Order: sequence, then structure tokens, then C-alpha cells
Amino acid sequence: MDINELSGRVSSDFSSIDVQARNLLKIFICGRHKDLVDKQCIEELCIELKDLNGEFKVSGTFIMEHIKTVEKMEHHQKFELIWKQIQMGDNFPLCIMYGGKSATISQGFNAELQTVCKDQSKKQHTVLIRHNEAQLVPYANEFISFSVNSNDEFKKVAKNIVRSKLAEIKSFLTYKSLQLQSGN
Amino acid sequence: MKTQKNFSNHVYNSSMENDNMFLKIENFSNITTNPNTVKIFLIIAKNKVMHFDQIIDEANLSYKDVIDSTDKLEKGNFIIRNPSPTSQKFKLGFNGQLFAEQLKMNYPEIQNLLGKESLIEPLKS
Repeated sequence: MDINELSGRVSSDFSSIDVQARNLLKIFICGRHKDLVDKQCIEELCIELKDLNGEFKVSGTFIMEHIKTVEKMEHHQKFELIWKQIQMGDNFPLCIMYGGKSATISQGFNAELQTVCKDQSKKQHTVLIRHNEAQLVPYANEFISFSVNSNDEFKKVAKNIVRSKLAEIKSFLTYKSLQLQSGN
Repeated sequence: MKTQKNFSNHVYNSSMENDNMFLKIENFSNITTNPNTVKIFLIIAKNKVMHFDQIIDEANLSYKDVIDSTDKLEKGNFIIRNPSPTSQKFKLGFNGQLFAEQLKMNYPEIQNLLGKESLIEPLKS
């Protein structure tokens, strides 16, 4: 298949609202953890959201470790840099932050929360899911957060959030499509 | 038309916020459903860095079509000017790198075209 056929096929596929919505969404999952189990559930969620045979098929899902930086930097600096780059593009960002059971106040995760708290444009695209036993600093309370009791529950809540974001994007695309059909 | 747009903004402002999310979604939709724009995006992704004149030659499109598409792609950070903002050469921007990787996952033919190696470059502060 040459590049003309390929671009024709892609643009034709993207006339589907469903395909557009799944590709528009850029999901960035992050969290800090001492415990490998907390880390593992973040990686599992990423794989499940990306799975092309699964329910979500959001191929633009990634975790912090997937993005490299030229210079060595602290996690919260890297987090800020990734946000800056994402916000420059035509996409719909969603940052899922997980304060797992093993999260502690001394970890950088709280610096990342602070980065989001200070910036309304980040805050409105960020959801915090916190384990009931996670130790987070008081300004974590500034978020509308979801409390969970287990890593499985974290994944369930995160998936519900992704479903609602996809529905939100699709509703806009449907509205736009109806506008075009009516000639406005 | 203006009234309609204002109405749509009103409807979606509660959830789509005030940071041009409405516009971004619309731009993404316009880019990905235009075969010429997708073609130019793929040509730049394949060649890593392309001069504007080279894009016209390889895409076999008019000057106007290419400038319309590169303009939209640049605004959406799908492509950026390289090495400076005044350059006539383009390469993938961060959003374009992510999108190219998404296309590679969805289309084996695009993976063959762009290669298996990740197109996501390390970020500079």
C-alpha cells in the first residue's frame, strides 16, 4: 500500500467519531510508590487501556517511564515538562494520578500534586485517585479525588473516568457533525 | 453562524473548559479527516526532517494545499519547524510523535513505513 492509499484509508477511518475520540485522548498515568504492587497496577492499567482488542483502544496512553528526557531531572520537573508539551498540541489530555497505599509524604508525588494544584489548566484535566491509606500532603484535598481501598478498585475507577471522557469527546464530535450536516 | 458557535461554546464550556479544548478537538478532526494533511504528516514522519519544497515534490500537491496543511499541522504541534522557528524545514512535534506512534499501533503498513523504533524523542527542558 503506497502513501496515497494509506493516507486515504486513515482519513476515511477517522471520519468515524469513535476512532477520532479514541485517538484524541492522551492519557498520562502517573503515581509514586515504594511498593512494586502499586507500580504494577499502573503498568497494567496502561496496557489494558491501550489494548487494541480491549474495550478502550486508547493507543495514546502512557506512563512517565515511557517518556525520556535529555537532561536528568526530578520527577516533578519531568512531569511539568511532559504537561507543557502535551498542552501545546491538538489533543484531549487526561492525567490520572494514583496515590497508592505505599505513597508517602516524603515522595516526589506530592511535588507533582503541587504542580497541578497551582495551574488551573492542568487541574481541570487531572484526576487524583487515592488509596485510603496513602499519605498525601494536605493540598491533595484541593482535588476532587476518588478514594479506593485496593489497586483493583483503582483500575475500575480509572476505567470509569476514561469512559466518561470518551463519552464527553464523542458528544462534542457528534454535535459538530450534526452542525455540518445541517449546513451551519 | 456566530450564534450557533456561541451556543455550542455555551453548551460545552461547562465540561470542555476555557482552554480552547473545543477548538483543539475541531482542529484534530479537520486534520485527521483530510487525506492531503494526513499524507503530508506521514511524509514528514517518514523522512524525519523535510524542507517545504521537498514536501511539495514528494506529496505531488499544490503550494496552496501544502501550506494549508503544514499550517494546520504546525498549530496542532503535529510538526514543528527545525532547527529554528523561521526555518522552512519541518519535523514531528511532540504531539505528532505521539500520534505517529498511535498510527503505527493501529496500522501495520504505517509501522512498515515509519519503522519499529519509537519516534518519541527525549524531551528537552
